[in-house]
Amino acid sequence: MGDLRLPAAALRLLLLAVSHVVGEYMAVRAASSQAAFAAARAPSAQAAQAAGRRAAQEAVSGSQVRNFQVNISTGGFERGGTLTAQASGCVSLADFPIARETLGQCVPLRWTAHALIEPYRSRTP
Amino acid sequence: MNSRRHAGERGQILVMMAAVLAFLLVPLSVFLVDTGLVEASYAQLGETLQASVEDGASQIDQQAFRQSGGQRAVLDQVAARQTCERSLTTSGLSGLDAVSVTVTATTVTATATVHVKLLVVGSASVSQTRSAGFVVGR
Repeated sequence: MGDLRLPAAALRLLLLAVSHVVGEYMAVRAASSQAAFAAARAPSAQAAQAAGRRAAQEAVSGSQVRNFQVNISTGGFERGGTLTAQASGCVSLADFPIARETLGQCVPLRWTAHALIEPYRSRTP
Repeated sequence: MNSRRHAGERGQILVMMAAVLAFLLVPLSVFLVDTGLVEASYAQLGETLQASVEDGASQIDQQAFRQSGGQRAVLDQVAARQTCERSLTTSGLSGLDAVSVTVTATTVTATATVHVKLLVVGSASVSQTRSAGFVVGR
């Protein structure tokens, strides 16, 4: 049974790598939707960019997503219009050599969320 | 003697590894990914519903407000429902189904179900209900 120790450890590492990628994927997804909702409630297009980026950064603050970026498209920031937030990044598999051989050095993650721009609170008086 | 005996057992570990991969690792990996997909969808459904009911609950009845000289602020129930539904549609949440919006004089409640396509077979459904109240002066 001693012969099985190495393969068993390798399998455990693979499972850990998969769960690592899934966890970071959830963080990117949450960042995207939270950025969209925060931006949609901002008083101006400039404030929407700032609020969206702040919300996205908070959402991924506890994660290990690398090269994280969030692009917020406010369009004309018209009342009742649609706002889009796209979050992207990659999850490093440097700690998982076996998974790295299969999935690559850094697994890209991306998610897009949309939100309705607030008709009332989306403007300063 | 020993080496002769082990010679007949060579290659057995490969068979065991193949069995472990097929019956343990792959199903476990699929389970992990599927759990993540369902959990992410559940969280996103909750966030989307909350934003939608808040959008709905912000619809003031402008006519009543103006006619009362700014004294009476009530929820426009028709606009609240429409805005809530539009907000949910705008979100583009994939697999969104069975949306139900209930509007009372002061509260907007929405229930929705999302069908999550799983990695290998079938799909899972997650449902949530969220409410928001119409509040003036806070």
